[in-house]
Amino acid sequence: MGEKITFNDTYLAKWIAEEITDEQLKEFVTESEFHDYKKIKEGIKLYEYLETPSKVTFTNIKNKIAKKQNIKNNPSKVISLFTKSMIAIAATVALIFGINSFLNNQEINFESGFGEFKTIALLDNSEVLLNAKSSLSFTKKGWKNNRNVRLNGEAFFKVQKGNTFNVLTDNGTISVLGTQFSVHSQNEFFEVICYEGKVKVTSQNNKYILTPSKSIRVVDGKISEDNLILSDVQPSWIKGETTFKSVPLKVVINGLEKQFNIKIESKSIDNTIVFSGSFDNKNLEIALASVFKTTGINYKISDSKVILSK
Amino acid sequence: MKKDLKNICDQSVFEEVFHKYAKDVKRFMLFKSKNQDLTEDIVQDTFVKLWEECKNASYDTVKNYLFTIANHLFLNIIKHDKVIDKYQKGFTHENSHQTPEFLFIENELYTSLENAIASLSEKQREVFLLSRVEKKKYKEIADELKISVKAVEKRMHSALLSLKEKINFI
Repeated sequence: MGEKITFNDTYLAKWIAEEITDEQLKEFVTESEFHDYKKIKEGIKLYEYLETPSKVTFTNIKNKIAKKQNIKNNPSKVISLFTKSMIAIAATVALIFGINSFLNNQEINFESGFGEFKTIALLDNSEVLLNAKSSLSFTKKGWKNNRNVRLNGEAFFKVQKGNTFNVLTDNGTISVLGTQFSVHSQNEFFEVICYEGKVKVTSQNNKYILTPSKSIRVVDGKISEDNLILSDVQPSWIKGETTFKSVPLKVVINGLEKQFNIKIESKSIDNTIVFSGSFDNKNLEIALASVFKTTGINYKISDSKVILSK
Repeated sequence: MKKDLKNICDQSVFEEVFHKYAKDVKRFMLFKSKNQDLTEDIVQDTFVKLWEECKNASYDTVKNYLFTIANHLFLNIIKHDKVIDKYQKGFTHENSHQTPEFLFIENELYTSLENAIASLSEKQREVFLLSRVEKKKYKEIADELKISVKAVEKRMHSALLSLKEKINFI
């Protein structure tokens, strides 16, 4: 009661400044008055917006103009082609996505082909960049409480803040709240790299918490934790390069096969030797040279096959 | 040739046009789209477009020209949304361009509010603008005007009472 008396000539001021709630205001005014005040409050919000000087708006306009002029002045074919194909892929994905969403319970599935690279927008605006020959699936039902996706292959995730987001793979589960990280899960190879925030990885009943630039890797059942020097905020394959750090050569060979849709004969070499380095995603010859010249392995291209020898 | 003096391709003229009409375009779009974020985007793109088309625009008719561009941009978005809605029914509601809370503020009501604000007493209006447009806290206003926080709150309170009295609720 005491509160009511002291607020008697200021309650509207307190309410508009959000120092008291709607419920508290209702103690002072009738239902219909409350309704009117709500409208006034919304109207004042518009007034705020319209009367506030448009400095920010003008700065944004100048930036947009500058950006457009930049594109005009430096027409880079590579970039425009890249964005075009990205838009095309995004549009296709959006369409597939849209049609699928009619069927609420059905699993939504994305697959990237050889050498293909896909951008997927999830229901909560989280982004997934899917590397070559990888697949991702999820169901729309229960998405709000249960953000679960299944991954096979390699992907980079930008997760919006919200409930726990789980990436389920055959090699383990990754749980996050909102962050950026990449996952590579293929047969016996499993690697998670954290780029931002915190990532929880569960694999073989062990739990690991990764902070930025930390990574965890499981190769043929052997677990190793590593501290990487990340030169960028995203994995290199997003920029058209595939990078490896001390991985068995067979994982690299597998990556080459997926990227270029080729078969690589590796029977006559030791495919467990450790490789560090990267290969170009566009040009097969350059890619082969950068992997095998550095490891002292001879290679020969015949038809759609690459034969390796010592 | 008076027109040549006010060439919109001239940066300072362009800026002048912006400061003169940005608010009108904003207001026009706000009541059309009923969404502040969308309005902001369209207003920005409208002026970008005006800059690109500055050779075809004349200073005397630029206001109409701006409204036409804004309207076009808005209709394109609506058309696009309809296509998307058709395929994405179910989860686009968050992206829908109508923020429910703005829905019931109509142009007439807003005009009535503007008039009511204009007719506040000098003291009420001062506190109202400092608090709502300049977004200052009551404490800051009190310091600035050298009165107590309680006095600031009283003025704000009476300003709101006065607005409610003067506004025509339909």
